[in-house]
Amino acid sequence: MVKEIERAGIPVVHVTNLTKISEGIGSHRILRGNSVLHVFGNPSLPAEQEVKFRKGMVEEALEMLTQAPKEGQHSLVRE
Amino acid sequence: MSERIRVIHYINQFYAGLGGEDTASVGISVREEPVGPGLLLKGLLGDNYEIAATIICGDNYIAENTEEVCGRFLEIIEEYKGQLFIAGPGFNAGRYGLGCAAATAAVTEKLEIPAVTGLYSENPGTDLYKDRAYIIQTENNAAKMRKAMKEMAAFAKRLAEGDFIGDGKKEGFHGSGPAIRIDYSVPASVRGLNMLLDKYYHRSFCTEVIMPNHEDIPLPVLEKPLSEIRLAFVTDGGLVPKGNPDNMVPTNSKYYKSYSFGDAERLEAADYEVSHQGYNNAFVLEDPNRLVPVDAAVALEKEGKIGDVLPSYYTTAGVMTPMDMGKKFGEGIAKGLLDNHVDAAILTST
Repeated sequence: MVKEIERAGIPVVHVTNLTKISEGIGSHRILRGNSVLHVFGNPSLPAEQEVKFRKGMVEEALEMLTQAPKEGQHSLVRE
Repeated sequence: MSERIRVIHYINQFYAGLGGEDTASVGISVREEPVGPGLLLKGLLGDNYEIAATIICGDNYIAENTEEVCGRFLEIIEEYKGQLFIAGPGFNAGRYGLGCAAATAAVTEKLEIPAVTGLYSENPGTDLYKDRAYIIQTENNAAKMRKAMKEMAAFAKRLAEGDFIGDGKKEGFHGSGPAIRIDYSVPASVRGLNMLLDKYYHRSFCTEVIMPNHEDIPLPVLEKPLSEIRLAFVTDGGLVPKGNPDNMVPTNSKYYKSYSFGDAERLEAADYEVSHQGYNNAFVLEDPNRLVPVDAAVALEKEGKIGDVLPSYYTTAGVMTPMDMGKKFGEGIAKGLLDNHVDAAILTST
């Protein structure tokens, strides 16, 4: 799905814990999720802090949208 | 010295010097000698090989009667006791490429003799047959004939000599190469161990799993600053509205859906459920924003860090869903995003 959306010219950040698989299929921008079970969540935090945590992650993803993989690399990966 | 290996070479009317489009409908003919690029091939194969026959066929004829023509090719190859089949190369020629790939697949599967062709990645024949035949990767330009033929000849010789053939990426062929016949009377554990031993001893072996061929997509870049973009969310984590109104299946999905959350500032747990049998959904059920982070995105929109958020998200369950299906979903979603003027997407996978 990532690749077809990218093919249409829309940059995508793929947020997942299975970053190797994502890299293997050729996604360009990959951010490791907090867990397979809660990609954008952190249930160990109190609710208010979890929202902050999530906002931080979304901001990180947004920042990746403005960046490109390093020279000679296919994917930009943030673990 | 043993007898020379008998090679059958297939080329089209153009390379046989019969003409271009005007003669593209010409049927099959055979010459018992190398013709056109066959002369180059003969030199590259060396003295242990002889081109016993060149099959010539018009591009329209093979494209319009592929199955019948391939059947006839097989008869000719048997008639001339062919031991190795080489087609083309067809570069980026559509009908010729289709012919090269279809014939190579037919020979591989029906006659079970070594067979190889060479095509450009975007040739329609490549996609159709790359998992049924060895299709060496070539440039899209026939000016590269020498290079392509050199690679094909070297590969063909290794095939004929039973050399170890690695995966496509390493060897330079498209896709997975020929499908293999699996002997199910041998238990999977034994087949697996044999494969491992073959690999260890550097003997030829084939995977039983066809690996998807991952093509490179050009890197898309944002065309405006973050503060002006429209952001959308896509997930394969199976988040659906309460009651699962479209009966989204939890595995082996056949479609995706888009659901609106309107002007909500966050996804409320009471309004959603998960149809996905591949992970423990409890954390997402407790707070759907953990999968589709609408709360964070809306907050960032309010702060002016992004333009806005598409008020609906795309969803499916990515469990046991074949790659082809994912590709289809992706195409549909991409269209939806473009129609909605989306500039960037965050896609979450569980």
